[in-house]
Amino acid sequence: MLLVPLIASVALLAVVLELVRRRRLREELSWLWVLAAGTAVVLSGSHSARDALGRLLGVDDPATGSLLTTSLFLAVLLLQLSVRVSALANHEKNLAQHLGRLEKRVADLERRTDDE
Amino acid sequence: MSPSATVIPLRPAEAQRRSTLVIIPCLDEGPRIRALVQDVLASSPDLDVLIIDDGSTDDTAAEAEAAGAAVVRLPFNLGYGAALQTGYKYALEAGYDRVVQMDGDGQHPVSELVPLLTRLDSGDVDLVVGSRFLGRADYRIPIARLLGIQLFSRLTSALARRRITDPTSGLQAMNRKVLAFYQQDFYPYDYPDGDMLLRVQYAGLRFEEVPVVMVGGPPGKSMHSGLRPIYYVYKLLLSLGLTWLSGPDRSGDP
Repeated sequence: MLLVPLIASVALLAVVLELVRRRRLREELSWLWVLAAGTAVVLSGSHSARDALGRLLGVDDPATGSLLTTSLFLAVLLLQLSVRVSALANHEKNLAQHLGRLEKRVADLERRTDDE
Repeated sequence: MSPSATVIPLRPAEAQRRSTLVIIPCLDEGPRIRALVQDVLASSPDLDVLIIDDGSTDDTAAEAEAAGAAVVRLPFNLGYGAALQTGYKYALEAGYDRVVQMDGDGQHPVSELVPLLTRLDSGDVDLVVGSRFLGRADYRIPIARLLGIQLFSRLTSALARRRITDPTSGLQAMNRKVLAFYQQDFYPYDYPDGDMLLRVQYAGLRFEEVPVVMVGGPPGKSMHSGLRPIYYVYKLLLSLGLTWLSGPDRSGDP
């Protein structure tokens, strides 16, 4: 058992769950964090799990296996966030375009009302 | 779902609306825009002008309105493509039959608008693109930029299997079919280019290049300065490749 990493990963898992409970992290964005923290708890707490992971990835050193897994998780997390940001940017663009056209319409209506 | 699809369509009521709208996206063109708008309006009685103020920090919007243009102000800078698309959406909602787009920096002479519209009126094309390489560029195009344009025009021509000489041209005239096509979310925020011409072709819309004259914009103003050309090359290669891979059937409905 790796005590410090175990404590850190349990703390990370607790923080993620607390953020979800307080609605500061949305459920649909939390699952990868929960998966990453949960995996870290298992790998920190079990030597055989680290060995199994090393064998699965074809590396002799369990630490290398853990590092590879962490990197993969981070890459997937970043990809998920990038997809989210892209979708939000598209919504933002459509909203800004709509706002601009709405303001133009309001100004036209106000001008017409003033003329009448 | 895009926000624009969830709201009641706007119907700007323009009592004196004409059939053709000239769209000019602008960013900080305050010193030039009044004269440009006046020139466009004086060139033909059949033209309305719409300025899309893409987050200017100067008096572009006020100057354009004073000259007689309609102005849509974007709340912040969205990019050249998104500003153009704002104009397409406005034109479609307002019921315009035809749109001409031109740049606000003076690169596109007003005298070129009517020939583009005349070609569009022939009815056998949906989009007319002004080409400075079929016509004339009355200014010195930097060699790196010229090479880039040549490279991408050849690449776009190869993918489209037809000759395309000026895929970066911002001087275009289009009918409502193209306007409707350009409403979709694939329209780029920044630089619509050969990838859009490829999409237009794949969607079964007809386009043609016609010769035009272009002149130099004001010194120091370019959309392709700093590190942007590097991103531009990457973006265009990616977009052209993916559009080509998508093929005619999956690139969007006209």
